[in-house]
Amino acid sequence: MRALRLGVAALFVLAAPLLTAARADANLEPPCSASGTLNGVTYDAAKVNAATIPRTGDVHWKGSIPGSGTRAIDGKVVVKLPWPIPERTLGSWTKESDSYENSGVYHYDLPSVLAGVDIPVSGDHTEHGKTCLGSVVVRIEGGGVSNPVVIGTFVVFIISGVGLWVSFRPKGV
Amino acid sequence: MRKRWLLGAVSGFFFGLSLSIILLGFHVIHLDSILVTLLPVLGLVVGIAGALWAPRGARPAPTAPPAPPEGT
Repeated sequence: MRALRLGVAALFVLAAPLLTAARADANLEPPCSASGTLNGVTYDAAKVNAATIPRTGDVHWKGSIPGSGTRAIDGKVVVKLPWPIPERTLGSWTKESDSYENSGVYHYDLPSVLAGVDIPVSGDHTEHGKTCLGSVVVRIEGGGVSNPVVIGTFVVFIISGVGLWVSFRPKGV
Repeated sequence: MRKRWLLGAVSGFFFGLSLSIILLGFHVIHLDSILVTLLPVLGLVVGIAGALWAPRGARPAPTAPPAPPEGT
């Protein structure tokens, strides 16, 4: 039993730092450029790799790439979710286009349970054999003990911990 | 306690799940971290294993039968 406990403890000590290590988020690579303005604050995708935003809002976005003429383009913006849940596509484009810039307003309204959660958002754009990649970690305002789900989870954590302790106790005691 | 392994499994699963939610809420891990899925599974496995392999408690020593009264 002691060997099992030591083995599990060692697994967590060794694996946790690797699994929780901060990612090397990539800013948007040239020649693409993109930015979003939210509540008067403009985030340049080439300079920002993390941002804290409110739970609901309207993002005034724009993107561009140098060039001219009609060509085939392909791209998407996705939110990465925990395995095995597939990533969710926020927007995508694949067509023939002679436009080299675009803009719009994206409205979002996230549930309160996501307050404080760090959500990885990434995007890519491909044309003429070139691909631009970019990613950002978006943190929803709030979180911690201000998120009622987290408070309720603490209760579950304690109760299940007690259940584990009872199940690990020597049999017959 | 019979079904101890069931208690260990359920407790371990929810222990791991609640731990992953707490880590998310306090910005320790990102939403796409493998730990979000791995912790509940690990908790389930550890809960079952710990419950099945819990050592047996010491049984009280058997008491000797009382000596017969003298003269019989």
